[in-house]
Formats: sequence, C-alpha cells, structure tokens
Amino acid sequence: MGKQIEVAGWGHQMRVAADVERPETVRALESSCHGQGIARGLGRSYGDAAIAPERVWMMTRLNRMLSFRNGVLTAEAGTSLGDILRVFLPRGYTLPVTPGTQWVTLGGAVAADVHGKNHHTAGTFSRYVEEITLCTADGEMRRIGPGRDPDLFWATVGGMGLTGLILEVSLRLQAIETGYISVDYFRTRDLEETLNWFSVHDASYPFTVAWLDCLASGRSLGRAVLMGGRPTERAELSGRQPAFPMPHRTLRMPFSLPSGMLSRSVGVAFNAAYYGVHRPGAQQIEPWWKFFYPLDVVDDWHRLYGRRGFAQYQAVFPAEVGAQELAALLGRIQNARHPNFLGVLKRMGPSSPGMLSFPRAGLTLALDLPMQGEGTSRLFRELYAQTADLGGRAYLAKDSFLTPDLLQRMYPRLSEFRAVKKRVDPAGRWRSALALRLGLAGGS
Amino acid sequence: MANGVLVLGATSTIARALSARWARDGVPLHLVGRDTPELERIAQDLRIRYGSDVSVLGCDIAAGDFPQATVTAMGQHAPLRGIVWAFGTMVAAAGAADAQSLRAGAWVNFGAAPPLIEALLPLVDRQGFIAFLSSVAGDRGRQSNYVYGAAKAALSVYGLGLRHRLRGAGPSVTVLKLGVVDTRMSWGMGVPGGAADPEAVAAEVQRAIGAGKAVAYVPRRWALVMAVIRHLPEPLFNLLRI
Ligand SMILES: Cc1cc2nc3c(=O)[nH]c(=O)nc-3n(C[C@H](O)[C@H](O)[C@H](O)COP(=O)(O)OP(=O)(O)OC[C@H]3O[C@@H](n4cnc5c(N)ncnc54)[C@H](O)[C@@H]3O)c2cc1C
Ligand SMILES: NC(=O)c1ccc[n+]([C@@H]2O[C@H](COP(=O)([O-])OP(=O)(O)OC[C@H]3O[C@@H](n4cnc5c(N)ncnc54)[C@H](OP(=O)(O)O)[C@@H]3O)[C@@H](O)[C@H]2O)c1
Repeated sequence: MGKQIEVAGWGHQMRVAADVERPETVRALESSCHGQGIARGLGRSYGDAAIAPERVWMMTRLNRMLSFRNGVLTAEAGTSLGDILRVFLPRGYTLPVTPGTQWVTLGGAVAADVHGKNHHTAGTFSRYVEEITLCTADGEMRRIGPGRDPDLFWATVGGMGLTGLILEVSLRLQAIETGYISVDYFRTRDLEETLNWFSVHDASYPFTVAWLDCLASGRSLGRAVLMGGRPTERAELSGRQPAFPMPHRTLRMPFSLPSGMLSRSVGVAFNAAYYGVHRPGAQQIEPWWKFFYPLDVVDDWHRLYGRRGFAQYQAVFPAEVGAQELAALLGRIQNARHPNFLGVLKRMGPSSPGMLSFPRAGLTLALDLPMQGEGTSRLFRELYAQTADLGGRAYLAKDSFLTPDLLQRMYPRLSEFRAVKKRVDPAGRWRSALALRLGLAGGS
Repeated sequence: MANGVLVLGATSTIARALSARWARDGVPLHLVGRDTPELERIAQDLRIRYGSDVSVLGCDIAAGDFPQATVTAMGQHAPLRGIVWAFGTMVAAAGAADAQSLRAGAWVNFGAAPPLIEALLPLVDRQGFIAFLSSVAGDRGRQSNYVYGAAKAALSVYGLGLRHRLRGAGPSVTVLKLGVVDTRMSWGMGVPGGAADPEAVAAEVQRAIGAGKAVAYVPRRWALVMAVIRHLPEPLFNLLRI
C-alpha cells in the first residue's frame, strides 16, 4: 500500500506529492513493483533526482547485510554508508570512497557514482562495486557487473535510478589500521595559490580538499583553507586511544530558520571562523567522522537555510580550465550579490566508465546557494551556460536547473545511455522529476 | 545454542528490531515465520552485524501439521530463554472485508497463538519469558478496525490468563500494548502525533520484558490516550472518527 506524501530533495526547494512505497521485504518490493516512478534512498540528492510525480520507492528499509567474504560486502541497497562504517570499522575495514555525508544509501551511492576527497587517487564509488542486483522494468531481478551485461551496469552506475531499482550491491571494502585521518592544514592567499597547492600536494596526500572563502574578493578571491589527509597508522596513536573510535550523538535542527536569517553576515562569520580556526601547517589526528563528515554533526542541517531551501552548484571543468576562468565564474556570483557560504574545490582524477558519471579529470567546484526566487534561477542559468562554454559539466545529484540541451552538451555519452535505457526500459517506467525535466524519462 | 529467544513472526519490522537488540547482547535467536528466504536475509544481517547465533525455521500457521511441525523442530533448542509472539495482520473494517480475510485476521492475530504457545511452553526455561505484541486496538472496539482489535483483545486476555496460571511456577508473561508504530502495517495511515520508531519501540519492549511487567503500553503516552478512549462516554465516543 502506498502513501500519499510530499517528498523533497535535500535542498528542499523542489517538492512533489507522490505515491510512496516503502517495501520492507523483498516480496513486498516485488509486489509493489508496477507503475512509473523512481527509487529513493536517504534523499541526500539536492534537487529532483529522487522525487517523482507518480511513485517513489523508498528503499531505506531494505537494509540487510547479506554476506561478507574476502573483503566484499553484499548488502541491500537501502543500507546506509554510516551503518556500514559502524559495523566494519571496528573490524578494520572502511569505505574505499565516501561522499561528504555518511547518510546516503548504497543504492544512492551507485546511482550517482559518488566521489570523495580521494577521487584523484581512488576514483569513484563504482570502481569498488563488483556486482549489483537490479530490478528492471520487466520485473526481472538481474545480477549485473562490469563483467556481466557491462552496458547495463555502466548505464546504472551514475544513471540516477533510471534503469531500475537497485536491490543489492556488492562492494569491496578497504582494510585500514585505524579510524583516524592525519590531516595537514594549509591556507592560501588567492586562487592561483590554491590551484598550485593541488598540483603540489595531490601526489602526497590520498585525501585533498579546499574550502573556499566565498566572501573574499579582489586579490584574495579564491583564498582557501586546504586539507591534505592520509590514513593514520596504528603506531601514531597513543596507547590509550581506541583504534576505531565512534561518534556520540548528533545535534538536531528542530525547525527551519526563517528565510534569509542565514544571511550574508552569518556567512561572513561562518567563513571567518572557519578560516581563523586552523593554524597553517599544523597536523592533527582527526577521527573519521570529523574529517569526512563535518556537516553530519547536525541532523537536518538543510533547515539552516529556511523554508525556501537552497540549491547547490557543482561542476567539474576540464584540466585546461585554470585560475583565470574560475575567477571569472566566482566573480560572477559575487557581482550578482547572491549570498553563498560554502565553497568546496578539489582536483579530480580520470573519469569512470559510467556513462553519466559526473567526475572527470579537472577541477570541481561546489557552492551552496540559498534560494532567493528568480534571482537564484537566473544565476544558475548563467553559471551553467558558462560551465558548458568552458567544457565543464554539472552534477545531476546536485542539480535543479539544467535543461535538456545543456545536458547534451555536458554529457557526451548521453546517446549510449539512451540506447541502454531504450533496451531495458522501452516504455519509460523509471522516471524522476529530474528525468522529466531533462528528457531522460524515455518511452514515447 | 542453548537459551535462545524464539521469535514467532520474525519478519515483522518490530520483531526484527527486537532481534537486533538480543543479537547485540549475544543472545542466540531462532527466527520463525512463513517467508523463509526473508527470514534467511534477516538472519544473515544479524550474523554479520553482531556475529550472533541465528537459526531460521519455516512455519506455516495455515498448514495442516500446525503447530506440531514447529514444536518438534524447536525441541532441540530447549530450554529457551523466551518466546516473542509478533504475528499480526491488519484487517480492513468489517464492512469492507470478505469472509476469508475476516477468518485469516482472527487466526493470524489470535487463533494460532494458543495452540502454538501451549505446545511450546514446556520448552521455555522456568526463569524465561513469553511476550505478546498486542495492540491498543484491543482496548475498545472502534469502527475502523474492530476485527483486528477484537483479536488483539483476545490475545491480551490470553496472555494475562497465561501469566496468572504460570505465576511463580513458570516463565513470566508480558503483554505489550503497542500504539502506532512506523512499519508496513501502519504505512499509509495518518497518525496524529506520528508513528513511533520501531527501534525505540523495541528498546521499550525489551525493557518491559526484562522488568517482568504484566502489561506495558509502548510508547508510554498510549496508556493515557487509551485511558481516555476507554472511559469516553458513548455519545462522545460516537463523535470520534476513529
Ligand atoms: C552534505 C552532503 C554532502 C555530499 N557530498 C557529496 C560528495 O562529496 N560527493 C558526491 O559524489 N556526492 C555528495 N553528495 C550527494 C550524495 O552523495 C548523492 O546525492 C547520493 O546519491 C545520495 O544518496 P541517497 O541514498 O540519499 O539517494 P537519494 O538522494 O535518495 O537518490 C539519489 C539518486 O539515486 C537514485 N537511487 C537511490 N537509491 C536507489 C536504488 N536503490 N536503486 C536505484 N536508484 C536509486 C535515486 O533515484 C536518485 O536518482 C552530498 C550530499 C550531501 C547532502
Ligand atoms: N505497526 C503497528 O502500528 C502495530 C501497532 C500495534 C500492534 N502491532 C502488532 O505488533 C506486531 C508486529 O507488528 P509489525 O508492525 O512489526 O508487523 P509487520 O511488519 O506487518 O509483521 C507482521 C508479521 O506477521 C506475519 N504475518 C502476517 N500475516 C500472516 C499470515 N497470514 N500468515 C503468517 N504470517 C503472517 C508477517 O509475516 P510475512 O512477513 O511473511 O508477511 C510478519 O512476520 C503485530 O502483531 C502487530 O499486530 C503493530
């Protein structure tokens, strides 16, 4: 039995009423598996990827771990990464790749082919996926992988749920000695220095990321706090420290702040505080959650942005795009006087074989922008046009504003994806609001 | 595997949350139900997460050899630390249900319990427990679900009668009167105040069993809600759309 409820993306600026199924057994999944709609995990995609005007299959109750052999975990797609860490860290295994929040599901991680701070060395999530079980439009449960119907596999990886419902994922975990990361902090004075930092340090750190000071302008535009991290070894810990620490409770945002309260001035304070906190060159040994998931300390933090919600711009540019072009882009946001608080910059490694996978070699930039009506939409349209002109692409897991023609320009393997979609879903059963917006729903 | 807990209807979401708590405490589990592939998935999950001892037993409460097959198969696991009854199914309001589903509703929610529990009783440790996941719906007949409610009322009375009989001489019996819990059973129902989280409910259920309570309302606020509903004079009660 479905339930009529409103579902939204993480940015809460896009919502739709849908008939929501939440299967708790495989049988229930199979018997609910009719009609048009889309799978949903923990709803951490920002825009409209996991919402649909028809049906939504909430996969979070299908979260059983099914086998663990030779370092490979097979679990149901609704299992969260946070759950996996809690079970396997104490046994000396971690996720080979993780996004900036642990509260995503295996299914969501495959469907968006997520990347982490180690993309330049480790690639995307799918590199460690050995097989998945996919429920396709014909009701079949198919075991697929890089060696078993590779076309369907690489269309499903990064395919945003549009090839079917992922029921199981087999993921190779990574052995580690401790649950800590040894982090070196740096700061830079401008964009040039920030980009140089990656050139120098990507070779020595498996984890690198830059937090941009979004309010710095002029000569300081692009200054950043940068982190280079590597797994801490057992010998670096004092005897008293537990090798695999676990976090305590999280804080909760009980209600939405009134729109606009997280205004420009709060942004100044936030950035200044963050910028001031770390002494350059100081090394710290940080527990995993602090390094990988700084935002997870507050549940429902999207409420900080108020009822109107927010959107994220994330794009990746080809390697040729440098400081000058990026500065122009950041300058445009500042000229629009549009508030934005969080900026993240990172250099990515080579792309994955996923047909719609986002990452490719070059710089990726992510900015959270509170929704301010038409002004925000206009800014996005401008940013996206400029992104496409630079040969870059936007990340579907974050997107709310792309159009079909921009998609075509940004994703050169789109036609390959469409061919697979046509083969396994000729009637266009699997469709999200995003798919309808971007002409990816298929069917006639 | 000595001193395990037998979970009847182990594919229930609340039962699964309870099983996880026992598994975490190192208690062996025997998962019973009709959907063995599903039980096997739950068992695997408990083994991987908690390294626990879990066995699975198919049991069809509608079959001709019920309950003997189950009782025979469980014999090897005696003495049991406890039994949880979690079987249950929602029944449409009587006007909307056919004879078949009315009969099934009465059987799954109550009818199958006495023959199975009485036969399993000798397998339970004298210091052990028997717990019934019953419902606040049994506290007063309401138009929306009185067939379900009637069966749950019968289950509650059965449990308390059993407790009376076994006092001082056998396992302790606890009747859990559950409010609305967020599972497939309540999915789609609008609930004022929201449905309770199954894991929080499981924690309270485990506590009530451990404390040897006769009856426990879970979540606790339902004790108050049901006291009001039970005592509401009929003219007022008739105004309620529940
Ligand atoms: C704070 C924060 C930080 C983030 N950081 C990063 C980051 O560093 N790197 C990165 O790559 N991403 C990042 N993300 C984005 C996030 O990792 C992706 O959006 C991810 O897909 C979310 O997973 P989910 O389970 O919440 O899926 P949802 O948001 O519910 O769904 C996302 C997509 O996956 C599909 N999907 C979900 N489950 C299934 C299934 N079982 N079968 C088929 N399709 C399915 C949906 O249809 C949808 O298209 C971040 C998000 C947040 C909120
Ligand atoms: N959820 C609530 O709001 C709520 C409120 C009050 C009381 N309760 C009671 O608490 C218990 C657990 O609830 P839940 O929400 O966790 O239930 P659930 O997930 O719906 O599970 C019900 C259990 O009963 C089994 N079952 C149902 N019909 C059956 C049939 N015809 N034959 C054999 N087995 C059958 C199911 O097996 P299959 O998996 O094989 O279907 C499952 O094991 C139930 O007794 C319920 O009545 C629940």
